[in-house]
Amino acid sequence: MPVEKERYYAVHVLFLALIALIFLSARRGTQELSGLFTANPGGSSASGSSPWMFMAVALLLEITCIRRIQTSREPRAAADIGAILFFILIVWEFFATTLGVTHPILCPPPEAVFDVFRTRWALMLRGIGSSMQLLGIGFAVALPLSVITGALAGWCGRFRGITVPIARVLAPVPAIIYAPYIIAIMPTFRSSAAMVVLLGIFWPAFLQTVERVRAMDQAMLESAKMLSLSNREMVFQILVPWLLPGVVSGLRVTLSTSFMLLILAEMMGATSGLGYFIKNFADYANYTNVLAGIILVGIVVNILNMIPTLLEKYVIRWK
Amino acid sequence: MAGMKVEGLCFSYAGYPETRIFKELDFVVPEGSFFSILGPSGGGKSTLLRLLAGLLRPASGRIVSGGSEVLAPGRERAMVLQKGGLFPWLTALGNVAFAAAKTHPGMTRQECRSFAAGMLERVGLNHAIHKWPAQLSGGMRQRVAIARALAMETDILLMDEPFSALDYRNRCLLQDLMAELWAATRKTIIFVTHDIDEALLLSDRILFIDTTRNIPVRLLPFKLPRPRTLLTSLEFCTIRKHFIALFNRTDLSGMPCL
Repeated sequence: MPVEKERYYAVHVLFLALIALIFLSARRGTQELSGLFTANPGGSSASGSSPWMFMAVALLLEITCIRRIQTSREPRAAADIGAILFFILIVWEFFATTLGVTHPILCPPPEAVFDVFRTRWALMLRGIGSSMQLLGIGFAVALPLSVITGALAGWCGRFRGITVPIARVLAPVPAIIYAPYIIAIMPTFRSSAAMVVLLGIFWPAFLQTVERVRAMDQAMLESAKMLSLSNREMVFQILVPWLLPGVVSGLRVTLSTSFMLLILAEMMGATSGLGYFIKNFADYANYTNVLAGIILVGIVVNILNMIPTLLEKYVIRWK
Repeated sequence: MAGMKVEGLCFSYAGYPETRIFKELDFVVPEGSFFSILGPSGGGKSTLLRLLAGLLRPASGRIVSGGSEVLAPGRERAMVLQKGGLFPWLTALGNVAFAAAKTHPGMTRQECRSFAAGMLERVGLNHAIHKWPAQLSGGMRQRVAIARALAMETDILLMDEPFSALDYRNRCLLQDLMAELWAATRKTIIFVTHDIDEALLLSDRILFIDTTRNIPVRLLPFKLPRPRTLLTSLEFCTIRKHFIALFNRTDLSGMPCL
C-alpha cells in the first residue's frame, strides 16, 4: 500500500482565512474613504495604509511554508510553525483592524506596520547601509588584528604570558559600557560606533585564536616541519588554513554580539542606522515604524547569521 | 651513504637538564636496513626518533645522516607519525602533492598531482584520492601518510608507531605493505614500535631501549627468511621469547649487548 503524503491542511486554511480577513478590512476601509462614517478608531487608522504589503508578506509566508513542507526533513514542524504564525497574524488583524479595539498607537494594525516597508524603504535601506558599513569597518579592523595577535600569542610563550591574563580580565567586560565615553572622546559618532564594535569582537576572537593555536595537532605540525617549510610557508600554508575554521565558527558568535553592540550604540547618538531608525521613531511615539524597524532588524540579523554557515559550506569544505 | 650514525648521544628535556634521557648512546643504522627501535611505552623511543628526525637537538653527541650532521629536519629524511598528521584542509591527493611540490621544486602542479596519484596507488588508495582526511578511516589515513612520505623520495624513512592505533586487520595489511615497499625500494627504514611481533616481522635489526629502567641499550641483528609470518618458525619464537623477557625484566643474561 503506498504511503499517502500528509497534507497539513490547517496551515493553508489559516492562510486563506487571513487573506479573507485582510480583504474584508480593506473593503471597509475603502467604504470609509468614500465617506461612510463609522466610529471605529482601529478601522480609521488602517484605512490610511495600503493592505498590499501585508498581503504580500502573508503570501511569502505561505510560499515558504509550502516549500519547507516539501523539502524539510520535518514537514510537520514546518507546517505547525506556519500555522502558529498565521494564527498570530489573524488575531492581530482581527483585533486591530476588523474589530479595531486595540490602542491605535501602541498596537497599530498589521497593514500599517508592513506598509512602512513600502513608504519608508529608502530610509530603511540607508539605515541598513549605514549599520553594515560600521559593522564592516569594525570587523575589517578587529578580525585581522585579533587573529594576528592571537596567533603570535599562541606561538610565542612570553607574549602569551603577558597578553592572555590581560585578555581574561578585559574580555568579560561588556563593550557597550565603554560607549558613552568613546562617543565623548572620538571625533565622529561613526568612528566611535566602529570602535565599540571593535572592542566587542577583539578580546573573544583573540582568546579563541590563542586556544586554537595551542590546540594545533602536534603530529600535523611535525609533519609540516619535516617538509622543511620556510617561515612564510609555515604561516600561510599551515597556520592560516588551520586557524580558518575557528575564525569562521567564531563569526557565529561575534557577528550577533557585535550587531547588538552596534544597534545599542546607534540608539545612543547616531543620526542614521537601524538602531537610530527605531530610537528616533520611538521618541516620536510612532510605534508603527518602531515595530517595522524591529521586524527589519530581525531579518537583517538572521541574514547576517547565514554568512558563517555559507562560509563553512563553501570555504571550509574539509570539515 | 644513506644510513645513520649516532655517536655519544646525550639528551634531556628542556627545563630538566639533570634528568638524562640518553647517556652516551652509540649505534649505526646501516644503509638499506629495516631498523626497529623497540621498547615499552614511555621508554624514550619516540624521543630518539625525533632526535634522528632533527625535530629535537641533542644535549651532546652527534647524529650523522648521509654524511652530514643532523641539525634540523632535512630533505633526506621523511617521517610517518602515529596519528598520520595529515593536513585536514587538503584531500588525500592534495596532502601527497603538497609534499611532492615542497620536495621537488622543479615539478609543475600537474606533474606533482600525477606523481602523488601514483604514490597513492602504490599504497592501494587509488579509489579515495579525492577524499578529505576527515572522511578516511584510520588505516586509510596512515596509507596517505605513508604515500606522503614516499612522495618526498627520501633515502631514509622514519616511522613512529605508525600502526599502533589501527585495528588488527588494518595493522596486518599495512605491515605487509611496508615489507613489500621496503623490499622494492630498499630505503633505510627506522621503525619505532612497542610491538615485539611487529618488530620481528619487519626488521633485520632491533634496538631495545627503555630509559625508565637502568638497563643497557641492546642492539640485536638477526636473520629470518622472508617473507615472514608470525609464530611459524622455532627461531622466531625463540627470539620473541627473549624480547618478552626483556620487557618483563627477567633473563637479561645471554642477550647480545651493544
